[in-house]
Amino acid sequence: MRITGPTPRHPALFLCGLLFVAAAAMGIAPAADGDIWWHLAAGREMVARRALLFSDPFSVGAGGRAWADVHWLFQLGVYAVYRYFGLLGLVWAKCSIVGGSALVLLAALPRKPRSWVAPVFVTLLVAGLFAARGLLLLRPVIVTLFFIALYFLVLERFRRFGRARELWLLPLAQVAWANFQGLSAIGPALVAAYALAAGLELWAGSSRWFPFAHASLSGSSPRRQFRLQALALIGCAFASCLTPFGAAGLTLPAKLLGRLLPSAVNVYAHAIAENVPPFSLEQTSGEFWHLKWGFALLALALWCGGRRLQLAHLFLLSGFSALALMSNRNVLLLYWVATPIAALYLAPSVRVWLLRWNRQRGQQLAFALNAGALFTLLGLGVTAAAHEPSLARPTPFRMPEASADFLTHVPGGSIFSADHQVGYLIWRLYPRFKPYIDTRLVLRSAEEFEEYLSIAEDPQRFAQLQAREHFAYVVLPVAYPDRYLGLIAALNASPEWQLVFSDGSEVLFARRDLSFGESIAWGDPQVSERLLAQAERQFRGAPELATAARLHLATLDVALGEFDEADRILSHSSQAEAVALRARARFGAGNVAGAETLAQELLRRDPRDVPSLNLMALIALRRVDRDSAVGYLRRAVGVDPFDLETGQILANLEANP
Amino acid sequence: MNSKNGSPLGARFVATLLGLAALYPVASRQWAAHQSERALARYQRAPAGRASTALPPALSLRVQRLKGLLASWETIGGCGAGTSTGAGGGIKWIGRGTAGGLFQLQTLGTYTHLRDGYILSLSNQVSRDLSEKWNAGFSVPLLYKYYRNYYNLNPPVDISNGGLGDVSAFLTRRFGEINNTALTLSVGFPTATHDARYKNDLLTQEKQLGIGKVTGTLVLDHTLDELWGIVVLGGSVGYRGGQNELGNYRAPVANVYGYAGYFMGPWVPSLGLTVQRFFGVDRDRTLDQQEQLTSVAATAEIEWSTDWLAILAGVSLPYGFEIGGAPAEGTANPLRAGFQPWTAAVGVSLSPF
Repeated sequence: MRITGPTPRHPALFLCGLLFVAAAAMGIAPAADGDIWWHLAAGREMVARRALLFSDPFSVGAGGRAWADVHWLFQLGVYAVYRYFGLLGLVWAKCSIVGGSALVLLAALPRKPRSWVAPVFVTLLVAGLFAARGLLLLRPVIVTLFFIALYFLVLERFRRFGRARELWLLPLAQVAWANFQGLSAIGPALVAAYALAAGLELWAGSSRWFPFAHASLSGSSPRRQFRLQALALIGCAFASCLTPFGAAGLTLPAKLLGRLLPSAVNVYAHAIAENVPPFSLEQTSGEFWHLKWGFALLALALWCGGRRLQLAHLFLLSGFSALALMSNRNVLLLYWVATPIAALYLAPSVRVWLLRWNRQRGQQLAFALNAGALFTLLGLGVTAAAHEPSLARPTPFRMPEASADFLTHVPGGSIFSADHQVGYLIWRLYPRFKPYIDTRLVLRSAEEFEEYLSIAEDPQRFAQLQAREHFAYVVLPVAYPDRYLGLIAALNASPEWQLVFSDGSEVLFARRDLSFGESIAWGDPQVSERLLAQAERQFRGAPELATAARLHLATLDVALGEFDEADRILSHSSQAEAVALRARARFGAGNVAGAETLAQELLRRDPRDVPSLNLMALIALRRVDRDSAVGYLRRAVGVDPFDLETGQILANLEANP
Repeated sequence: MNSKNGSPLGARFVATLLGLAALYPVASRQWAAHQSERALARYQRAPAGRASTALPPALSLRVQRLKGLLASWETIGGCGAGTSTGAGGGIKWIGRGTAGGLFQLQTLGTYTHLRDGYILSLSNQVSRDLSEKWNAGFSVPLLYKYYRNYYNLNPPVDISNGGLGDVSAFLTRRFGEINNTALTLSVGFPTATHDARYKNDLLTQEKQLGIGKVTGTLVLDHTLDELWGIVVLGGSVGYRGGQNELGNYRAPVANVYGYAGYFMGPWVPSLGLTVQRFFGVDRDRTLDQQEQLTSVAATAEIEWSTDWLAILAGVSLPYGFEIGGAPAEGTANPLRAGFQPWTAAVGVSLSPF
């Protein structure tokens, strides 16, 4: 009649197995990131040439420019895995590295009898990985997770046991890390944090005011600690130079860090999605909602740590927190480093509180809560994985798969495309086709990148670029992201371009002088029905994806001015997104009353639906009813003060009252 | 960890900084709302001109984040108005709740304070929309009942009875243009023990975890979604299993209720009133038990929610009257009208993917 938890015979082994499975499960997702494709292409090219790449062979925008390809080991590795096991093999390799690296982090924690540190760490890390699983991409950062864990293990063991010989592992690892990723500068930074902490303790550790615990648990003196860690730091710094790219490879991390610094003039910081500060993304898209809770948990852990706090840990948390606040891509690194440190300080305090409350029940309650949380997270991770599309293919709608298929049968040439899709085009079409700009922005100046971005904002500027580059083809996505819809509309209206292929989710334009015959009769119901039937076949068994394809097709119709056709193909769906898009199609067609009917229907379903409130405000403005418009906008602001569309309408109103 | 040095000031200082960083999103939201409000006020004061209604196409066509699609990090989301599936005595989930994900997971923990002990329950409910109109799910409760000095012995003997409660499955049909009326049929299966003993002595029926029979409940909810908040009106009838082979009997019950919640950003505080009536007294091994047949319970709750996560805390205090049944043999104080055991609850609802 009692509720008790499982008591495995080998709890440490059980915990390790659980951590490996749970951490690995968080990485199960198809390849959504565009970078992996140019990494694969680079690996393939190196194998073909039997030489490293020192200049860009792939693009027309930066062709021949010097390229410090410090990822070359990663690229060879992923190409080897892909060649024999495909994308599926890459995903499983990624999951295995994440799971194995999590075990290395676990090994860095002290193993004391009846300690709660390890179980608490396992739950915290799995929670962090679950929250940030969108960042667990097929990228060199996965290898960086392993190296960070290894450094943390070695440095913590040195702090606890004082064995100097283990530090020699660090410069050796640094040589490998420096040839895997530009983030390898984190290695020396980790060593520097421990060395600096030892140095400060050497200088002021005996003072009464020194507010941190002694670093060494082995009886080793601060002087010895400082000297050995400083030597390891010098070794790591020297090892960082051992890349085939010399000074360019060495300075790359600093260059990349400079691009993360948030500022209005730093185009790399505010225009690259993964570099945007996470709190900004939380405001506009709801992503990274978990970061504030992460900080709150860290604050609680440090508060609990009190006089047990290690200065080196403080340096690590400060550094990784700063990186995470600067750029959302670093949130994963923060969680990776912060969870073992948080567990070190949180678990002993929680143990004391609960056992003080009730010795027997406190233990049972802690076990039940931790196990419940961990199994819930594991269940969520596995459910998420089961819900993912095929791992053997790229995430649907993210890569221009159909356009690449089409291009394999036509004459080659240069391509303008969305930068994040270019890696895929390189992988599929190099060397017959060369794209303009991809996500290797180290090859481009800020001015070049700004020029590229300005085309999406002001499609008329594309003509200037075309006059210079003479692109033969343009490949653009409809929905992920949707920033190119304006350019799609402009090219469709241009006499110099013709729409030669689209499946509704991606579009391919060819220069008209390439003689592809007739353009697609966009807006013709027969064309729409053919594409919808094709999507139904492609996504058989995944109705959500078929629905998404239908929405993309309707979105493209609206962007190209085929409002009635968009209205028609969405007319059978009562889904909120479909109704909202129909309302906008009607508004675009000038059918204000029809748009109002649908927007009101959506507001009856959800009075806090911001897009519908925005549309009602626009309808009121069209009718020159300022009071109603303000009323709707006020409601929209009350629900979501960060909504981009509401902000745009307000800005328009302020500019043109 | 070494603790022989230093003051906690360093740690506390950094913890405060991190805590402030955690508060930044809340503060920035307030600031953005304030700025937008000022912009609206400026616009209202400005002389009327010809308003621009031109929309950048990319902006105006981004109607909503898609739900349940593509890679998992794109799929969290979806906020249904006024979900109200409840669990726990007197506590009904009032607020925005969560909806729209692959499934809905709701866990409600309650503590009921008895004069001579307490009851802890943890109800875990998983449900999923089968279509726009149909929803199905199941609920797995864990119960722990604790009674002090059960036999009035000296020294006193406390007893506890814990384990799996009656697992139930439910099916909901929604009605109305915006699905704001819901009829739910719930069937409970006899998975809980109903014959627990202490030293060969059967515990009385209310101390058992179940009755050992199939139970059923029919719930009708109507939700009024207003701009300012939410009102839930409804009622239920429950068949509690009747009589089992031990002669234990649980009488049918019906209740009607009304709750009103007020939207304050992500918070929804609410107040509710439930009137409950038992149709007969319960029996323990064929002997009537004395009970308050009718009760009125006041409930106060507060919910905090995002699109996919909701947390609820609430308390319920019932007042019982209309005494039925006979006092137990040797009972010095026969039951009177008065307050019944209060209940406090904490719940979490998740609607992922």
